[in-house]
Amino acid sequence: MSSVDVVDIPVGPQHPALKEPINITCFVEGEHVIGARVRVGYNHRGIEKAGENQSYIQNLYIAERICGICGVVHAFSLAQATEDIIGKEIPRRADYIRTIALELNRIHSHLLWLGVAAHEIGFDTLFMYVWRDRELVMDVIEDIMGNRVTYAIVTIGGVRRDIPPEKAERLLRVMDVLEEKMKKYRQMCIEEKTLRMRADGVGILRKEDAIALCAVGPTTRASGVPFDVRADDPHAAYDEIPFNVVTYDTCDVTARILVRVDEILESINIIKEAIKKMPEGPIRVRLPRVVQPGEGVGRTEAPRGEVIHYVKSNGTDRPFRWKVRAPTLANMLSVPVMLTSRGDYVVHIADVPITFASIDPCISCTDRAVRFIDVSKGKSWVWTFSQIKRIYWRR
Amino acid sequence: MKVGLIDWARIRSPWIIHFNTGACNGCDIEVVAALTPRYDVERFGIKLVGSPRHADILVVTGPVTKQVEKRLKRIYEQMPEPKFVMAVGNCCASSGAFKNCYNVYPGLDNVIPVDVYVMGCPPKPEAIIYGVVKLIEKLQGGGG
Amino acid sequence: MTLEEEVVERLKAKFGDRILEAKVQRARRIFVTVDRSTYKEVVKFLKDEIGVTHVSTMSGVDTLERFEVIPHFSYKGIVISVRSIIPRDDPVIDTISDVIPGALFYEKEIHEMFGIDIKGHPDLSHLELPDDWPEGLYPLRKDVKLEDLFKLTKEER
Repeated sequence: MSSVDVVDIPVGPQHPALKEPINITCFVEGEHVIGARVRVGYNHRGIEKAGENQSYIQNLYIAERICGICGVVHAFSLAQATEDIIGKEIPRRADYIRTIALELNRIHSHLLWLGVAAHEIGFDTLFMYVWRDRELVMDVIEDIMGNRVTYAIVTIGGVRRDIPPEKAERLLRVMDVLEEKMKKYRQMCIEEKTLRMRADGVGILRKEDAIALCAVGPTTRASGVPFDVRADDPHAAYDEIPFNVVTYDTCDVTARILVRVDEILESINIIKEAIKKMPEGPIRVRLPRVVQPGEGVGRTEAPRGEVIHYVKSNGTDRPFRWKVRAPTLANMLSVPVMLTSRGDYVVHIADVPITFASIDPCISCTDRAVRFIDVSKGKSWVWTFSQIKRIYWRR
Repeated sequence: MKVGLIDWARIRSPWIIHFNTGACNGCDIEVVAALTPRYDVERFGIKLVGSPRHADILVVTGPVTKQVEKRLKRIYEQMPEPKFVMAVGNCCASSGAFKNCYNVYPGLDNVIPVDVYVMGCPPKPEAIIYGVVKLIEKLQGGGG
Repeated sequence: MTLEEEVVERLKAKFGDRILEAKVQRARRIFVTVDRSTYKEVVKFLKDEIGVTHVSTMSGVDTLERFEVIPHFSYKGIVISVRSIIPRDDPVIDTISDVIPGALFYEKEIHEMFGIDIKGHPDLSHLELPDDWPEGLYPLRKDVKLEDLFKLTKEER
């Protein structure tokens, strides 16, 4: 069990600054960060309450907008929970198409993050290259799903669109091109000295803390915890497609970068296998609009980690209760731990932006503000991520 | 369209600040994509800045949650005149998919004045760039 | 015997009829119901004897007759949902964050959304709701209507 008390950092009196709507507060002594608090709720909208007043199908659309980057994982989890209650199997071809949608989503999301992480480390050139190559994936997503960002492909009972052979062909070609590029990016991430300098040993989350705090996704896999919903709780077509659960055990930002880079390569393989093995047949089964009383839990491995939905039905066409837990919330508890210096592990102010970014927080891409409170000097100030980078890295 | 763009890019390079009011990030990633090589909105002189004091255009995404209202207003107030607001996405126009959500306002124009609405959920980068073009025309004194 | 059935057997063997209900819905989905006096003991048993370390989330439910707090644990791919029944006129339950620290944020959320007091939780300040949210207004309670909540944001300005 973790020896760090994550909620109560004993570093002085309640500071009035903590009331401000700033997400991250860091307690510092000089240049060293000795504790942190994270405040979520920035984009609390009230979706679960709205869900009780909308039909299951309407909720699929709102689910996809819980997070625009990984929306399909939420639509899938809601569908899976509801399908469990109804108790009917969906067509196998739909499972495969869902798998392809989920993996394409993982690829675009990890590439997006890689660019953002490069930006946080001060490598804007890498950011531009990665986002340019990401457009190949966005094109093929638009080709197959009909839309770049919100796919609307999952429905209750299957999927809404098929993948005809010519689209499957185009998809395979893009996967081949991307695979070559990814191997180069992987080499770059391993060999680039300045990147390694800013990522090695930074943002440490020990394995025992990752487990105690129930971290998920690449964040926990980079701390050596082999937790991946696709392997542990096989769904869609993952039971028939072999793949590796990627883990690294250095527990730092470098590990989180490498986990995601390797996962892109794994996703490319999963998609190729899925196209090869996809059976013929229908893509959806008509399920009743009114769902019999019951409860279900839907889960998948989003790019950021485990996503879980709980649905309780009451014999109407609207859920009685719909609970969503997106992966970023599960990893938020670990951020203060990563930002706390202890013993030989020293956290510098300069490390804050990339450490926060390394959990791939599903919060906007805009500049984050951090309130700093210097405990020894009794001073407090606000810097944005870009200000921190300008001050500490003259690049 | 190309000639028109070069004309006003010579006249004025608009600087943009981007603010997310509780969006799902769908619009944000398409706004950021507009800056990347495929769309490269920077060749029109458009630049993303970090401070409202340097910005001409406030690009807003999201359905405006209760939590961010004060900060949004403060950013708008800190922008020097003449200033313009571009609402990106259906959420800004009318809360979009979040109509039944209790913690969001029914549209950005309930909170600050809006000059251009770019519809879509999310709008593609091409649509966002077109929205900027429309706004530039407005900056020049043309169209309403 | 499947692993799911084994977990259910061990729970029944340890707690007898204090397990009000335990069913395997399908592969890797177990639902258990207990009343709140058994709740924490079951969680400790799952951790210490079965080896559960991961809580995926915790769902609060208001059925109008009662409250429910349901931690959803993940154990070797199995989702074990442990429903604790809480009387609506005495909304208190023990924290499990001292057993599994990962529960900290999920309990905060249940507290602010349902007004259920989590005994022993170190910090029940708001997780998702804004700081200026009206005191005593618990959005996910069934007797709080959407129209009432709309008054906070949807009025004409």
